[in-house]
Amino acid sequence: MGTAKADQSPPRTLDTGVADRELVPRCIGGDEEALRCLFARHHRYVWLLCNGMLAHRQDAEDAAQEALIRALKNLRRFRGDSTFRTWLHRIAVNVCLDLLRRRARTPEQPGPPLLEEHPSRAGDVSLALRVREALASLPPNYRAVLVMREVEGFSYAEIADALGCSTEDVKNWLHRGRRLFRERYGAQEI
Amino acid sequence: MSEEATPLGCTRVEPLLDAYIDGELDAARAQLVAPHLMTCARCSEEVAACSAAANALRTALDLPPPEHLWTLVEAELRARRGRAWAWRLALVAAALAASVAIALVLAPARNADPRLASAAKVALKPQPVKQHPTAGPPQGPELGPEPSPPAPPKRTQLPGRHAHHPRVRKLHAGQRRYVKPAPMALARADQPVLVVVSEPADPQPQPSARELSASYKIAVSPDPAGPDGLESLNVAKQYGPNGDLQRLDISFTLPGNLVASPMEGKGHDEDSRKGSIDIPDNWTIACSR
Repeated sequence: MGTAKADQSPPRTLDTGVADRELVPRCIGGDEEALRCLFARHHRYVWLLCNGMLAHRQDAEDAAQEALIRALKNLRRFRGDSTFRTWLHRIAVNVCLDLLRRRARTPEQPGPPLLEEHPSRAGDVSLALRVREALASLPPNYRAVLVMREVEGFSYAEIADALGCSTEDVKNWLHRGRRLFRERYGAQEI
Repeated sequence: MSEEATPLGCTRVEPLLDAYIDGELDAARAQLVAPHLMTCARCSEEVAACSAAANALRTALDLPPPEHLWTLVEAELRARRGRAWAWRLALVAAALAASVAIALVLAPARNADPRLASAAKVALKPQPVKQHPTAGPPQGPELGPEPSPPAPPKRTQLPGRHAHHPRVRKLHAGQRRYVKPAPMALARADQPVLVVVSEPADPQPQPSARELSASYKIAVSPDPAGPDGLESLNVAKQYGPNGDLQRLDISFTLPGNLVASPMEGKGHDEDSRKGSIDIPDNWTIACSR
Protein backbone atom coordinates (compact mmCIF):
# COMPACT_ATOMS: atom_id res chain seq x y z
CA MET A 1 0.00 0.00 0.00
CA GLY A 2 2.94 2.28 0.34
CA THR A 3 2.38 5.48 2.24
CA ALA A 4 -1.35 5.86 2.06
CA LYS A 5 -2.81 8.81 3.89
CA ALA A 6 -4.81 7.98 6.96
CA ASP A 7 -7.95 9.74 5.76
CA GLN A 8 -7.88 8.15 2.33
CA SER A 9 -6.95 4.58 3.04
CA PRO A 10 -9.73 2.27 4.13
CA PRO A 11 -9.59 0.87 7.64
CA ARG A 12 -8.26 -2.56 8.17
CA THR A 13 -10.17 -3.55 11.27
CA LEU A 14 -11.93 -6.42 9.53
CA ASP A 15 -9.13 -7.32 7.17
CA THR A 16 -8.19 -10.49 8.95
CA GLY A 17 -10.22 -13.36 10.13
CA VAL A 18 -13.39 -12.61 8.23
CA ALA A 19 -13.91 -14.40 4.95
CA ASP A 20 -15.08 -12.57 1.85
CA ARG A 21 -18.24 -14.64 1.79
CA GLU A 22 -19.12 -13.26 5.21
CA LEU A 23 -18.27 -9.71 4.29
CA VAL A 24 -20.40 -9.64 1.16
CA PRO A 25 -23.78 -10.01 2.90
CA ARG A 26 -22.72 -7.45 5.47
CA CYS A 27 -21.89 -5.03 2.68
CA ILE A 28 -25.26 -5.67 1.09
CA GLY A 29 -26.84 -4.95 4.45
CA GLY A 30 -25.19 -1.54 4.51
CA ASP A 31 -22.15 -2.26 6.65
CA GLU A 32 -19.71 0.38 5.45
CA GLU A 33 -16.85 -1.07 7.46
CA ALA A 34 -17.25 -4.39 5.68
CA LEU A 35 -17.31 -2.53 2.38
CA ARG A 36 -14.09 -0.77 3.17
CA CYS A 37 -12.56 -4.04 4.25
CA LEU A 38 -13.44 -5.74 0.98
CA PHE A 39 -11.96 -2.81 -0.87
CA ALA A 40 -8.78 -2.83 1.22
CA ARG A 41 -8.36 -6.52 0.66
CA HIS A 42 -8.71 -6.56 -3.10
CA HIS A 43 -8.13 -3.16 -4.59
CA ARG A 44 -4.40 -3.65 -4.95
CA TYR A 45 -4.84 -6.77 -7.08
CA VAL A 46 -7.41 -5.06 -9.24
CA TRP A 47 -5.01 -2.21 -9.71
CA LEU A 48 -2.19 -4.61 -10.67
CA LEU A 49 -4.36 -6.35 -13.22
CA CYS A 50 -5.55 -3.11 -14.77
CA ASN A 51 -2.06 -1.74 -14.78
CA GLY A 52 -0.72 -4.83 -16.51
CA MET A 53 -3.50 -5.10 -19.04
CA LEU A 54 -3.63 -1.44 -19.98
CA ALA A 55 -0.02 -0.38 -19.46
CA HIS A 56 -1.22 3.16 -18.99
CA ARG A 57 -1.33 4.73 -15.59
CA GLN A 58 -4.37 6.94 -16.00
CA ASP A 59 -6.33 4.29 -17.88
CA ALA A 60 -5.38 1.74 -15.26
CA GLU A 61 -6.59 4.05 -12.51
CA ASP A 62 -9.87 4.69 -14.28
CA ALA A 63 -10.38 0.99 -14.98
CA ALA A 64 -9.58 -0.03 -11.42
CA GLN A 65 -11.99 2.56 -10.10
CA GLU A 66 -14.74 1.48 -12.44
CA ALA A 67 -14.19 -2.21 -11.74
CA LEU A 68 -14.28 -1.70 -7.98
CA ILE A 69 -17.37 0.46 -8.21
CA ARG A 70 -19.15 -2.06 -10.41
CA ALA A 71 -18.27 -4.89 -8.07
CA LEU A 72 -19.16 -3.12 -4.84
CA LYS A 73 -22.35 -1.78 -6.32
CA ASN A 74 -23.45 -5.18 -7.64
CA LEU A 75 -22.54 -7.36 -4.71
CA ARG A 76 -25.99 -8.92 -4.83
CA ARG A 77 -24.97 -10.61 -8.07
CA PHE A 78 -22.13 -12.43 -6.36
CA ARG A 79 -23.59 -15.87 -5.81
CA GLY A 80 -20.52 -17.52 -4.32
CA ASP A 81 -20.03 -19.95 -7.21
CA SER A 82 -16.44 -18.74 -7.36
CA THR A 83 -14.24 -16.85 -4.96
CA PHE A 84 -14.85 -13.18 -4.54
CA ARG A 85 -11.38 -12.48 -5.89
CA THR A 86 -11.99 -14.26 -9.20
CA TRP A 87 -15.44 -12.69 -9.48
CA LEU A 88 -13.89 -9.28 -8.96
CA HIS A 89 -11.14 -10.01 -11.48
CA ARG A 90 -13.68 -11.09 -14.05
CA ILE A 91 -15.28 -7.67 -13.72
CA ALA A 92 -11.90 -5.96 -13.93
CA VAL A 93 -10.90 -7.93 -17.04
CA ASN A 94 -14.16 -6.96 -18.72
CA VAL A 95 -13.64 -3.32 -17.83
CA CYS A 96 -10.13 -3.45 -19.26
CA LEU A 97 -11.29 -5.18 -22.43
CA ASP A 98 -13.98 -2.54 -22.90
CA LEU A 99 -11.40 0.16 -22.46
CA LEU A 100 -9.02 -1.52 -24.89
CA ARG A 101 -11.78 -1.74 -27.48
CA ARG A 102 -12.55 1.92 -27.06
CA ARG A 103 -8.90 2.74 -27.26
CA ALA A 104 -8.58 0.72 -30.47
CA ARG A 105 -11.18 2.96 -32.07
CA THR A 106 -9.26 6.10 -31.16
CA PRO A 107 -5.74 7.17 -32.17
CA GLU A 108 -3.02 5.76 -29.99
CA GLN A 109 -2.06 8.07 -27.18
CA PRO A 110 1.31 7.44 -25.54
CA GLY A 111 0.81 6.89 -21.86
CA PRO A 112 2.86 8.51 -19.14
CA PRO A 113 5.58 6.45 -17.52
CA LEU A 114 4.21 4.10 -14.95
CA LEU A 115 6.73 5.22 -12.37
CA GLU A 116 6.57 8.93 -12.97
CA GLU A 117 5.11 9.51 -9.53
CA HIS A 118 7.64 7.37 -7.75
CA PRO A 119 11.03 9.02 -8.10
CA SER A 120 12.51 6.73 -5.48
CA ARG A 121 12.18 3.97 -8.04
CA ALA A 122 13.39 6.04 -10.95
CA GLY A 123 16.07 3.47 -11.67
CA ASP A 124 13.40 0.99 -12.60
CA VAL A 125 11.78 3.28 -15.12
CA SER A 126 13.53 1.79 -18.11
CA LEU A 127 12.64 -1.70 -16.96
CA ALA A 128 9.04 -0.68 -16.42
CA LEU A 129 8.86 0.96 -19.83
CA ARG A 130 10.21 -2.08 -21.60
CA VAL A 131 7.88 -4.37 -19.70
CA ARG A 132 4.95 -2.11 -20.48
CA GLU A 133 5.78 -2.01 -24.16
CA ALA A 134 6.27 -5.75 -24.31
CA LEU A 135 3.01 -6.38 -22.49
CA ALA A 136 1.13 -3.87 -24.60
CA SER A 137 2.18 -5.74 -27.73
CA LEU A 138 0.53 -8.95 -26.56
CA PRO A 139 -3.08 -9.91 -27.11
CA PRO A 140 -5.28 -8.94 -24.14
CA ASN A 141 -5.92 -12.53 -23.03
CA TYR A 142 -2.16 -13.18 -22.92
CA ARG A 143 -1.69 -10.05 -20.86
CA ALA A 144 -4.42 -11.09 -18.47
CA VAL A 145 -3.06 -14.58 -17.84
CA LEU A 146 0.48 -13.32 -17.49
CA VAL A 147 -0.43 -10.69 -14.92
CA MET A 148 -2.74 -12.95 -12.97
CA ARG A 149 -0.22 -15.76 -12.92
CA GLU A 150 3.15 -14.02 -12.61
CA VAL A 151 2.19 -10.97 -10.56
CA GLU A 152 -0.83 -12.04 -8.57
CA GLY A 153 -0.11 -15.76 -8.26
CA PHE A 154 -3.46 -17.05 -9.44
CA SER A 155 -3.79 -20.75 -10.10
CA TYR A 156 -4.81 -21.97 -13.53
CA ALA A 157 -8.28 -22.75 -12.25
CA GLU A 158 -8.69 -19.29 -10.79
CA ILE A 159 -7.53 -17.67 -14.00
CA ALA A 160 -9.91 -19.85 -15.98
CA ASP A 161 -12.70 -18.88 -13.63
CA ALA A 162 -11.92 -15.20 -13.89
CA LEU A 163 -11.64 -15.26 -17.66
CA GLY A 164 -14.48 -17.66 -18.25
CA CYS A 165 -12.39 -20.14 -20.17
CA SER A 166 -10.93 -23.61 -19.63
CA THR A 167 -7.70 -24.40 -17.85
CA GLU A 168 -6.38 -25.74 -21.14
CA ASP A 169 -6.92 -22.32 -22.66
CA VAL A 170 -5.08 -20.80 -19.71
CA LYS A 171 -2.15 -23.17 -20.21
CA ASN A 172 -1.93 -22.40 -23.90
CA TRP A 173 -2.26 -18.66 -23.48
CA LEU A 174 0.26 -18.65 -20.68
CA HIS A 175 2.77 -20.64 -22.70
CA ARG A 176 2.45 -18.46 -25.78
CA GLY A 177 2.31 -15.31 -23.74
CA ARG A 178 5.50 -16.11 -21.93
CA ARG A 179 7.31 -16.85 -25.14
CA LEU A 180 6.08 -13.72 -26.88
CA PHE A 181 6.82 -11.57 -23.88
CA ARG A 182 10.34 -12.81 -23.61
CA GLU A 183 10.90 -12.29 -27.31
CA ARG A 184 9.69 -8.72 -27.20
CA TYR A 185 11.12 -7.82 -23.85
CA GLY A 186 14.51 -9.03 -24.92
CA ALA A 187 15.92 -12.33 -23.94
CA GLN A 188 19.38 -10.87 -23.53
CA GLU A 189 18.11 -8.65 -20.73
CA ILE A 190 16.80 -11.51 -18.69
CA MET B 1 22.02 -32.97 -21.91
CA SER B 2 21.82 -36.72 -21.75
CA GLU B 3 18.36 -38.21 -22.06
CA GLU B 4 19.48 -41.64 -20.98
CA ALA B 5 20.42 -40.20 -17.59
CA THR B 6 16.91 -38.87 -16.91
CA PRO B 7 13.56 -40.58 -16.91
CA LEU B 8 12.12 -38.10 -19.42
CA GLY B 9 13.60 -36.54 -22.53
CA CYS B 10 13.38 -32.86 -23.52
CA THR B 11 10.52 -33.49 -25.93
CA ARG B 12 8.43 -34.86 -23.10
CA VAL B 13 9.58 -32.34 -20.52
CA GLU B 14 9.12 -29.12 -22.47
CA PRO B 15 5.31 -29.28 -22.53
CA LEU B 16 5.38 -29.73 -18.76
CA LEU B 17 7.72 -26.88 -17.97
CA ASP B 18 5.08 -24.18 -17.58
CA ALA B 19 3.06 -26.29 -15.22
CA TYR B 20 6.24 -27.25 -13.37
CA ILE B 21 7.23 -23.61 -12.95
CA ASP B 22 3.76 -22.67 -11.81
CA GLY B 23 3.47 -25.56 -9.37
CA GLU B 24 0.51 -26.95 -11.26
CA LEU B 25 2.15 -30.24 -12.02
CA ASP B 26 1.14 -33.22 -9.93
CA ALA B 27 3.81 -34.64 -7.63
CA ALA B 28 4.48 -37.74 -9.72
CA ARG B 29 5.30 -35.86 -12.88
CA ALA B 30 7.12 -33.12 -10.99
CA GLN B 31 9.49 -35.79 -9.67
CA LEU B 32 10.19 -36.82 -13.23
CA VAL B 33 10.84 -33.26 -14.45
CA ALA B 34 13.18 -32.22 -11.66
CA PRO B 35 15.97 -34.72 -12.46
CA HIS B 36 15.82 -33.71 -16.13
CA LEU B 37 16.33 -30.07 -15.28
CA MET B 38 19.38 -30.93 -13.23
CA THR B 39 21.04 -32.52 -16.20
CA CYS B 40 19.56 -30.66 -19.20
CA ALA B 41 21.03 -27.20 -19.69
CA ARG B 42 18.52 -26.15 -22.36
CA CYS B 43 15.47 -26.95 -20.28
CA SER B 44 16.97 -25.46 -17.14
CA GLU B 45 17.75 -22.26 -19.08
CA GLU B 46 14.17 -22.20 -20.25
CA VAL B 47 12.98 -22.37 -16.67
CA ALA B 48 15.40 -19.67 -15.63
CA ALA B 49 14.28 -17.41 -18.47
CA CYS B 50 10.67 -17.86 -17.47
CA SER B 51 11.47 -17.03 -13.88
CA ALA B 52 13.43 -13.97 -14.89
CA ALA B 53 10.57 -12.75 -17.07
CA ALA B 54 8.17 -13.27 -14.22
CA ASN B 55 10.43 -11.31 -11.91
CA ALA B 56 10.64 -8.49 -14.41
CA LEU B 57 6.87 -8.42 -14.65
CA ARG B 58 6.45 -8.34 -10.92
CA THR B 59 9.06 -5.65 -10.50
CA ALA B 60 7.65 -3.46 -13.23
CA LEU B 61 4.02 -3.83 -12.32
CA ASP B 62 4.22 -4.01 -8.57
CA LEU B 63 3.29 -0.40 -8.09
CA PRO B 64 1.24 0.86 -5.20
CA PRO B 65 -2.31 1.71 -6.17
CA PRO B 66 -3.27 5.37 -6.19
CA GLU B 67 -3.80 6.61 -2.68
CA HIS B 68 -6.98 8.41 -3.61
CA LEU B 69 -8.55 5.32 -5.19
CA TRP B 70 -10.76 4.67 -2.17
CA THR B 71 -11.82 8.30 -2.06
CA LEU B 72 -12.80 8.14 -5.72
CA VAL B 73 -14.60 4.83 -5.34
CA GLU B 74 -16.44 5.92 -2.20
CA ALA B 75 -17.48 9.23 -3.73
CA GLU B 76 -18.71 7.55 -6.90
CA LEU B 77 -20.56 4.90 -4.93
CA ARG B 78 -22.33 7.61 -2.94
CA ALA B 79 -23.14 9.56 -6.09
CA ARG B 80 -24.51 6.52 -7.86
CA ARG B 81 -26.53 5.61 -4.80
CA GLY B 82 -27.98 9.11 -4.83
CA ARG B 83 -28.75 8.85 -8.52
CA ALA B 84 -30.36 5.47 -7.95
CA TRP B 85 -32.61 7.01 -5.29
CA ALA B 86 -33.42 9.88 -7.59
CA TRP B 87 -34.37 7.40 -10.29
CA ARG B 88 -36.50 5.45 -7.87
CA LEU B 89 -38.28 8.61 -6.76
CA ALA B 90 -38.79 9.63 -10.35
CA LEU B 91 -40.20 6.20 -11.16
CA VAL B 92 -42.55 6.34 -8.18
CA ALA B 93 -43.71 9.81 -9.19
CA ALA B 94 -44.23 8.66 -12.75
CA ALA B 95 -46.17 5.62 -11.56
CA LEU B 96 -48.37 7.81 -9.39
CA ALA B 97 -48.98 10.21 -12.24
CA ALA B 98 -49.82 7.33 -14.54
CA SER B 99 -52.21 5.91 -11.95
CA VAL B 100 -53.98 9.24 -11.59
CA ALA B 101 -54.19 9.62 -15.34
CA ILE B 102 -55.60 6.13 -15.73
CA ALA B 103 -58.10 6.77 -12.96
CA LEU B 104 -59.20 10.00 -14.61
CA VAL B 105 -59.59 8.25 -17.95
CA LEU B 106 -61.51 5.35 -16.49
CA ALA B 107 -63.69 7.38 -14.15
CA PRO B 108 -66.09 8.71 -16.82
CA ALA B 109 -66.49 5.24 -18.20
CA ARG B 110 -67.40 3.92 -14.78
CA ASN B 111 -69.89 6.72 -14.36
CA ALA B 112 -71.43 5.98 -17.68
CA ASP B 113 -74.60 4.88 -15.97
CA PRO B 114 -77.31 6.73 -17.89
CA ARG B 115 -79.05 7.84 -14.73
CA LEU B 116 -75.84 9.32 -13.39
CA ALA B 117 -75.06 10.89 -16.73
CA SER B 118 -78.46 12.58 -17.00
CA ALA B 119 -78.20 13.74 -13.40
CA ALA B 120 -74.86 15.28 -14.18
CA LYS B 121 -76.31 17.04 -17.19
CA VAL B 122 -79.16 18.42 -15.15
CA ALA B 123 -76.80 19.66 -12.51
CA LEU B 124 -74.36 21.25 -14.89
CA LYS B 125 -76.60 22.85 -17.44
CA PRO B 126 -79.33 25.42 -17.04
CA GLN B 127 -82.56 23.66 -17.27
CA PRO B 128 -84.19 24.06 -20.63
CA VAL B 129 -87.70 25.24 -20.80
CA LYS B 130 -88.75 22.47 -23.06
CA GLN B 131 -89.89 19.23 -21.73
CA HIS B 132 -87.06 17.25 -20.26
CA PRO B 133 -86.69 13.80 -21.70
CA THR B 134 -87.29 12.37 -18.29
CA ALA B 135 -90.13 14.72 -17.58
CA GLY B 136 -92.75 12.08 -17.59
CA PRO B 137 -93.25 8.47 -18.02
CA PRO B 138 -93.10 7.18 -21.53
CA GLN B 139 -96.80 6.65 -21.61
CA GLY B 140 -97.55 10.16 -20.45
CA PRO B 141 -98.99 12.88 -22.61
CA GLU B 142 -96.79 14.80 -25.00
CA LEU B 143 -95.84 18.03 -23.38
CA GLY B 144 -94.61 21.26 -24.82
CA PRO B 145 -94.31 24.88 -23.92
CA GLU B 146 -97.66 25.64 -25.49
CA PRO B 147 -99.72 22.54 -25.19
CA SER B 148 -103.12 22.66 -26.61
CA PRO B 149 -105.62 22.18 -23.89
CA PRO B 150 -108.19 19.65 -24.70
CA ALA B 151 -110.90 21.78 -23.26
CA PRO B 152 -111.69 25.47 -23.68
CA PRO B 153 -109.34 27.52 -21.54
CA LYS B 154 -110.64 28.26 -18.21
CA ARG B 155 -108.77 30.84 -16.28
CA THR B 156 -107.36 29.31 -13.21
CA GLN B 157 -105.10 31.71 -11.57
CA LEU B 158 -102.81 30.49 -8.96
CA PRO B 159 -103.06 32.60 -5.90
CA GLY B 160 -100.57 35.32 -5.29
CA ARG B 161 -99.81 36.81 -8.68
CA HIS B 162 -96.63 38.36 -7.58
CA ALA B 163 -95.84 40.01 -10.80
CA HIS B 164 -97.79 42.87 -9.37
CA HIS B 165 -96.38 42.68 -5.95
CA PRO B 166 -94.32 45.80 -5.31
CA ARG B 167 -91.47 43.82 -4.00
CA VAL B 168 -91.55 41.54 -6.96
CA ARG B 169 -91.69 44.46 -9.32
CA LYS B 170 -88.76 45.93 -7.56
CA LEU B 171 -86.88 42.75 -8.00
CA HIS B 172 -87.86 42.65 -11.61
CA ALA B 173 -86.59 46.10 -12.06
CA GLY B 174 -83.25 45.12 -10.65
CA GLN B 175 -80.37 44.48 -12.94
CA ARG B 176 -79.60 41.13 -11.49
CA ARG B 177 -80.09 38.49 -14.05
CA TYR B 178 -79.10 35.52 -12.06
CA VAL B 179 -81.40 32.66 -11.60
CA LYS B 180 -80.24 29.43 -10.19
CA PRO B 181 -80.97 26.56 -12.47
CA ALA B 182 -84.20 25.24 -11.22
CA PRO B 183 -84.44 21.56 -10.78
CA MET B 184 -86.87 20.16 -13.18
CA ALA B 185 -89.78 19.46 -10.97
CA LEU B 186 -91.82 16.76 -12.38
CA ALA B 187 -94.82 15.33 -10.86
CA ARG B 188 -97.52 13.07 -11.80
CA ALA B 189 -99.47 10.18 -10.52
CA ASP B 190 -101.41 11.93 -7.83
CA GLN B 191 -98.54 12.91 -5.67
CA PRO B 192 -98.44 16.33 -4.06
CA VAL B 193 -95.95 18.75 -5.49
CA LEU B 194 -94.36 21.48 -3.47
CA VAL B 195 -92.96 24.40 -5.35
CA VAL B 196 -90.91 26.73 -3.24
CA VAL B 197 -90.08 30.09 -4.65
CA SER B 198 -87.71 32.10 -2.58
CA GLU B 199 -85.42 35.06 -2.76
CA PRO B 200 -81.79 34.05 -2.77
CA ALA B 201 -80.00 34.52 0.47
CA ASP B 202 -77.11 36.12 -1.32
CA PRO B 203 -78.47 38.63 -3.76
CA GLN B 204 -75.06 39.30 -5.24
CA PRO B 205 -75.00 38.53 -8.92
CA GLN B 206 -72.81 35.75 -10.09
CA PRO B 207 -71.24 36.75 -13.36
CA SER B 208 -70.54 33.23 -14.35
CA ALA B 209 -74.25 32.55 -14.44
CA ARG B 210 -75.31 35.51 -16.49
CA GLU B 211 -76.12 33.37 -19.41
CA LEU B 212 -78.81 31.66 -17.48
CA SER B 213 -82.37 32.45 -18.33
CA ALA B 214 -84.02 35.42 -16.87
CA SER B 215 -87.20 34.20 -15.40
CA TYR B 216 -89.16 31.14 -14.73
CA LYS B 217 -92.70 30.12 -14.56
CA ILE B 218 -94.33 27.27 -12.94
CA ALA B 219 -96.48 25.71 -15.54
CA VAL B 220 -98.81 22.91 -15.16
CA SER B 221 -99.76 21.16 -18.30
CA PRO B 222 -102.08 20.25 -19.71
CA ASP B 223 -104.18 23.04 -18.38
CA PRO B 224 -104.97 22.25 -14.81
CA ALA B 225 -108.25 23.88 -15.41
CA GLY B 226 -109.08 21.05 -17.70
CA PRO B 227 -111.24 18.21 -16.86
CA ASP B 228 -108.95 16.90 -14.26
CA GLY B 229 -107.98 20.11 -12.60
CA LEU B 230 -105.66 20.60 -9.76
CA GLU B 231 -106.26 19.01 -6.53
CA SER B 232 -105.52 20.34 -3.11
CA LEU B 233 -103.96 23.56 -4.25
CA ASN B 234 -102.39 25.43 -1.37
CA VAL B 235 -100.33 28.57 -1.34
CA ALA B 236 -98.34 29.80 1.62
CA LYS B 237 -96.53 33.13 1.73
CA GLN B 238 -93.80 34.28 4.01
CA TYR B 239 -93.05 37.96 4.48
CA GLY B 240 -90.04 39.62 5.90
CA PRO B 241 -89.98 42.15 8.76
CA ASN B 242 -90.46 45.01 6.36
CA GLY B 243 -93.37 43.37 4.66
CA ASP B 244 -91.49 42.05 1.64
CA LEU B 245 -92.44 38.72 0.27
CA GLN B 246 -89.64 36.33 0.96
CA ARG B 247 -91.01 32.95 0.18
CA LEU B 248 -93.86 31.45 -1.64
CA ASP B 249 -94.83 27.87 -1.17
CA ILE B 250 -97.19 26.36 -3.62
CA SER B 251 -98.30 22.85 -3.16
CA PHE B 252 -100.73 20.98 -5.25
CA THR B 253 -101.56 17.53 -6.34
CA LEU B 254 -101.68 16.72 -9.98
CA PRO B 255 -104.06 14.31 -11.50
CA GLY B 256 -102.61 11.26 -13.09
CA ASN B 257 -101.97 12.65 -16.53
CA LEU B 258 -100.55 16.01 -15.59
CA VAL B 259 -96.98 17.06 -15.25
CA ALA B 260 -95.63 20.13 -13.57
CA SER B 261 -92.41 21.69 -14.64
CA PRO B 262 -90.70 25.04 -14.50
CA MET B 263 -91.07 26.84 -17.76
CA GLU B 264 -89.09 29.63 -19.19
CA GLY B 265 -90.69 32.82 -20.29
CA LYS B 266 -91.47 36.24 -19.06
CA GLY B 267 -95.14 36.32 -19.73
CA HIS B 268 -97.06 36.70 -16.57
CA ASP B 269 -100.24 38.14 -17.84
CA GLU B 270 -103.27 37.33 -15.96
CA ASP B 271 -104.96 36.19 -19.11
CA SER B 272 -102.63 33.32 -19.60
CA ARG B 273 -104.45 30.25 -20.50
CA LYS B 274 -102.45 28.33 -18.04
CA GLY B 275 -102.15 28.82 -14.43
CA SER B 276 -98.81 30.42 -13.93
CA ILE B 277 -96.77 32.30 -11.42
CA ASP B 278 -94.20 34.72 -12.56
CA ILE B 279 -90.94 34.31 -10.70
CA PRO B 280 -88.57 37.22 -10.20
CA ASP B 281 -85.32 36.93 -12.02
CA ASN B 282 -83.18 36.30 -9.06
CA TRP B 283 -85.43 34.04 -7.18
CA THR B 284 -85.01 30.36 -7.07
CA ILE B 285 -87.40 27.61 -7.66
CA ALA B 286 -87.25 24.37 -5.87
CA CYS B 287 -89.74 21.72 -6.62
CA SER B 288 -90.09 18.54 -4.79
CA ARG B 289 -92.50 15.80 -4.46
